Amino acid sequence: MSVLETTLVFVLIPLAVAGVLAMLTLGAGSNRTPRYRPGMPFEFTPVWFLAAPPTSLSVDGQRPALERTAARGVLQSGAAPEGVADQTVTIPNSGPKGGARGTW
Amino acid sequence: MSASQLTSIANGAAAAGPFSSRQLFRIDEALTAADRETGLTFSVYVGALDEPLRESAEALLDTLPAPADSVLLAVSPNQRALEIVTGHRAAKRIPDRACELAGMSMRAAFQGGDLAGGIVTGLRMLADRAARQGLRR
Repeated sequence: MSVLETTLVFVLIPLAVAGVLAMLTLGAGSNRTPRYRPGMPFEFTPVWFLAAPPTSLSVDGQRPALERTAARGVLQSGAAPEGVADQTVTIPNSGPKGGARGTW
Repeated sequence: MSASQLTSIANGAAAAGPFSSRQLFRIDEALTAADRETGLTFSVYVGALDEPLRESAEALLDTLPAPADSVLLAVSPNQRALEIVTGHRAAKRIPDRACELAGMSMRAAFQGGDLAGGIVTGLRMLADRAARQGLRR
């Protein structure tokens, strides 16, 4: 084997293999969807999931799934909606509730 | 929060959320199955909760169309807090101890950084419990 062949087989080919593997792992990592990690700040928009109620969801998906939550002044966590800060909308309390709570 | 953000998966609201489309699909599937098996309304809220956490989670449940028959899983990753709220009729089918148990499983998943997995597990456990309770009667 000449010097050229030796270099090719023992240096260039392993380098090429390592390069391909590196590209696969690093490339896949960069376009991964952002995910939650404990302890890191969570800066996503709050989301509220319901099994889509077919009666209250318009075909084009533009109407809110929850009609009552779209009522003026009903607000959830976060900032008060514009212009309704001085109005209070009372949501009737549905009575005693059960459940559990915890932290991690 | 505007009304447009309070939409379901069908609206693609979670495009800016922490979940991949595959995870969204799993959550949607678990929600739909839970609703169908139990007749209760399950919902999942992921985002910041106001202090006091319990009261704001209960207020979220009250804004649902049928709060007495609803179950809300509120997850606040920043506060690292989980609140499971059951309406008063739902609470008869899912006792607080079952909620505690589901909450423990969820917290274990959250500790590992698996938000979607924890939510799906919690939904399944609560729905299983409510479905069993319904059969017994």
